[in-house]
Amino acid sequence: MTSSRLPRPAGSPTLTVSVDSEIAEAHPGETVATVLLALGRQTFRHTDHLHAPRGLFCGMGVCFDCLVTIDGQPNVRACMTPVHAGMTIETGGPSDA
Amino acid sequence: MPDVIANHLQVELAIVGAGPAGLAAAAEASDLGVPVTLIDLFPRPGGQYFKPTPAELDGESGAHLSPLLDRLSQADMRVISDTAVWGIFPEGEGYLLCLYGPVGTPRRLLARKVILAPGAHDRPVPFPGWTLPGVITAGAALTLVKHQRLLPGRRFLLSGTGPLQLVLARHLLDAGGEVAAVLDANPFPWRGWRHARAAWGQWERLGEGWAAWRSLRKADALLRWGHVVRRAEGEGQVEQAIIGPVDGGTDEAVAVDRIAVDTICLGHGLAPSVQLARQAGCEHRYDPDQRAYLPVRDESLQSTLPGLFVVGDGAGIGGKDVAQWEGRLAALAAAAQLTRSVAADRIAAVRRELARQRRFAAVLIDLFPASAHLGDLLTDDTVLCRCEEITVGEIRRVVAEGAETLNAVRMVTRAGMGRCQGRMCGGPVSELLARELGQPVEALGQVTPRPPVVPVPLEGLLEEEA
Repeated sequence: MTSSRLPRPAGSPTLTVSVDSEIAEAHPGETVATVLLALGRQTFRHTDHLHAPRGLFCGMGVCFDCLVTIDGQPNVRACMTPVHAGMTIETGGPSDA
Repeated sequence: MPDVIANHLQVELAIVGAGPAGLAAAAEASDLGVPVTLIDLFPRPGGQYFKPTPAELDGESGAHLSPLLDRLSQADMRVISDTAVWGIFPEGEGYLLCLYGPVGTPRRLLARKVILAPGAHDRPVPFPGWTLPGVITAGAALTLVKHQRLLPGRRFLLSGTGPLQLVLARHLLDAGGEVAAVLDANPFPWRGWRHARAAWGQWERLGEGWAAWRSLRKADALLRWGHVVRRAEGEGQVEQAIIGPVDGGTDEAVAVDRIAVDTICLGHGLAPSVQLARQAGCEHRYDPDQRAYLPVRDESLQSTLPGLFVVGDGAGIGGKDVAQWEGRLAALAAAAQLTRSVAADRIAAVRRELARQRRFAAVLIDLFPASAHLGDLLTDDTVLCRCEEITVGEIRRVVAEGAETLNAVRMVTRAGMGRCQGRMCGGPVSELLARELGQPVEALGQVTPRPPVVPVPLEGLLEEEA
């Protein structure tokens, strides 16, 4: 799945975040899930038991599949968390890009 | 602990959920002079139907989603956003609500009356491969395209039922996506003409469906009735889908097709979020049409607990208009209980409009009923409980060993005890168990959600911030 951002309004500001120690550009208002998908990463973590890849599923905070580590806090829902400048995002899965 | 209780925030009316039902309830209560405290899980009110698109992502996002949202700035409305209600307990003549939100959010709230408007989530229908990245719910896809301005893939397969699939397909096409196929688990709605009277006047919705249908024909998408995605395959992500008839047995027994897609959107309608009402102790009954347990309510939408109302999709799927009129009706009853004077003709008018909206909602349920959880497609290694990774085979094994109730299955396998608290697997597990035992779902008992009904850090359970 290759996700792509639709055009942002002219002059829409950008900010930078760190995703698994790499710098990435994002837009205010985007969620962490959007930023990861736009980077071509759809595996957000691997499960404890079967080590199966998981990513976004319900997109509204219900299923708890899209968990990542944000600013050092583990198990945060990527779909519910807006990005902020300087945010550190750590996934539990290799890049699919 | 009366002295501790005395320190809690005390309110007349608490409304949980700021979607159409909760917002309408808030407006109606405020009209009658009842101050409202509205608690919502999301950073900004609106729920799923009136979800705002961040201004930075969409130049038009000042657009009016609903006049109900404008009311929230009134002095008599307090909105507590980004906050989960993880438990409700009877306390004196009202209810104690346990909250967990950002620093500074009250942890406890005493409300004389409570209106629960928790909404719904996409109804999960498992199949082999449904945990692969690239399988997302229709709701997730819609949120990404409309509110995050992100096209979450290139080539899409939509599988589920009902007109919302067409709406999603149109959004994906408009955003430049390729829609390979739209599969509806139900047969073509030939019976639709019988409902002409109930649909009369619903022009906006009928028009939206028609426009979506036409753009799909134009895009040359495969449209099939009585079909679903039977399996998703790929190395670490979705690469292809095996599609075929809903029933009829194994892939070998029916005609299946392979179709290369990178994203599968599941839109099997909605499942009401009943966890909070269940935990509170409201009686629920199984509704075979919606294939869900729904709260038992009186004609003013009060649950079996006095002063606690449940409204909107969280009490049974009816859509945003039913939800709003239910919210208003419950607010009128709550206001009356709070000794405000409520005009009889207002109650009558709200009831009339609610009845009209329910007639249309009933058409959709008749034409696009919630499909079974596709028991024929489930293989022993299909994961049913996504959180605890419990497979169909493990559940079949404990049934073979004598488990006969949902509670027994949950105790032995941990299915439904993970982070989502059974919101994803509750329906599928109960239907699988019913199938294995040859019994109706109603005979299997219910699993009572225990507080906290959403994951809260240990520190978050304390009455005061540590």
